[in-house]
Amino acid sequence: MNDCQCKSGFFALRDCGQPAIAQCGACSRAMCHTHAAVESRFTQCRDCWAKANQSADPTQRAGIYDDDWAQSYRSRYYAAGYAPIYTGTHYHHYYDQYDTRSFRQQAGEIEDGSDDARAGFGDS
Amino acid sequence: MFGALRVLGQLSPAQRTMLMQKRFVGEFTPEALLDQMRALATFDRHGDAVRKKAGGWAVAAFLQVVIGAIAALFFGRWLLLYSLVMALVGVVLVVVWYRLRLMDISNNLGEVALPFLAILKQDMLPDQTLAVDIDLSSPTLARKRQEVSPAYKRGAYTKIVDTNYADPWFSGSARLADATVLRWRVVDRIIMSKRTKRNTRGKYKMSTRHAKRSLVTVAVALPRKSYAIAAPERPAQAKVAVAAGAKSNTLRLVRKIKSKSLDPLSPDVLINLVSDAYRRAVPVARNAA
Repeated sequence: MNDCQCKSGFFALRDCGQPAIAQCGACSRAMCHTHAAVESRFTQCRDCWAKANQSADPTQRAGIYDDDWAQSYRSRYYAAGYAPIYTGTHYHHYYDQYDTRSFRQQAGEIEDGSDDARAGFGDS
Repeated sequence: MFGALRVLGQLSPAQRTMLMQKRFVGEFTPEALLDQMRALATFDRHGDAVRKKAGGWAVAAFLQVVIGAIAALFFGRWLLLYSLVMALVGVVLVVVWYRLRLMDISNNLGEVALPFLAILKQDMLPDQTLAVDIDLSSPTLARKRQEVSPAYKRGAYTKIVDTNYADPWFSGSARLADATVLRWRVVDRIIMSKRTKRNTRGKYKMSTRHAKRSLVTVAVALPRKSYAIAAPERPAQAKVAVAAGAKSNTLRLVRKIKSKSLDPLSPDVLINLVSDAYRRAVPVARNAA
């Protein structure tokens, strides 16, 4: 299986680089052990799990402040308007929704499984 | 009560020392730091809850002592035994309350520093370290006192004495995964105003009010080989200064937050300052010839 396609970071996103252990049931990205949501029993990545559970009681995890909380906070923070910088080498269209600011790259470098250069990437 | 004792028993000697000294200083990997902080914050949460209950129960126990003693006058001396038991219970509860009060730490740890560092961890590599210095003692300790005003009158208040405190409780630095160096510092300036006034029945009433101004400073040194600095997309809520260096551009952001209570600052203030710096960063073209 390929490397994990999830991105680490908060202010600036970067490639995870860990070997993938499974595929997310929601977005189909390859995910490593770190990026698999434990609460989903490793069936979803933390990004998808955080988004799916945003409406859940935010105080439920209050005081824990673990990686799941951070992922959930990241999802809300980006949705509120923060466009993170992407500093990795392989891009996935999953992050288009965050209007990621990135290095200018050639279309051939985009590894999103399609030939389209998506909006929101490389437009800074 | 047993929950707090169980959590206390799980703390390492180093963590107990931090609780007693009320200072969290050192250089840690993000995971090690967060593990230690979570343990202390969990104990503090349990301790606060038990302390509130123990205080109330102690008052109730001492009331029972008095009630038992009065009842003994009418219904027999055996009720003195009840009073004695209640007195013992009351003393135990006071000791528990006092011991927990000695180990009480500022809620700034669990409500500001912990969430901020949990976010910062996301931008760090597992083997990178960050240095922190967190003062967990009360902001109104005598050693933090800066100035006491002479007593003065204002409006209905016959005597007002203002005491100023300075509490530089949170500072640290970290190198992030993208080679950015981040430094931060939070200083709370507190005015405790003790006010006395005379009510319509001629009685003197005292009240204490607090005003807090938090000065939050963040310096973000963005490496020039990765980032250039651009004008912001939207005006920042903070004062911003940019210093160009040979290897990095440093953005210094300062924000003042005013509050009329001693409640902890929102961690969003720190997170927003760092993100305001990153909003001004423009990634440098990697493939530039």
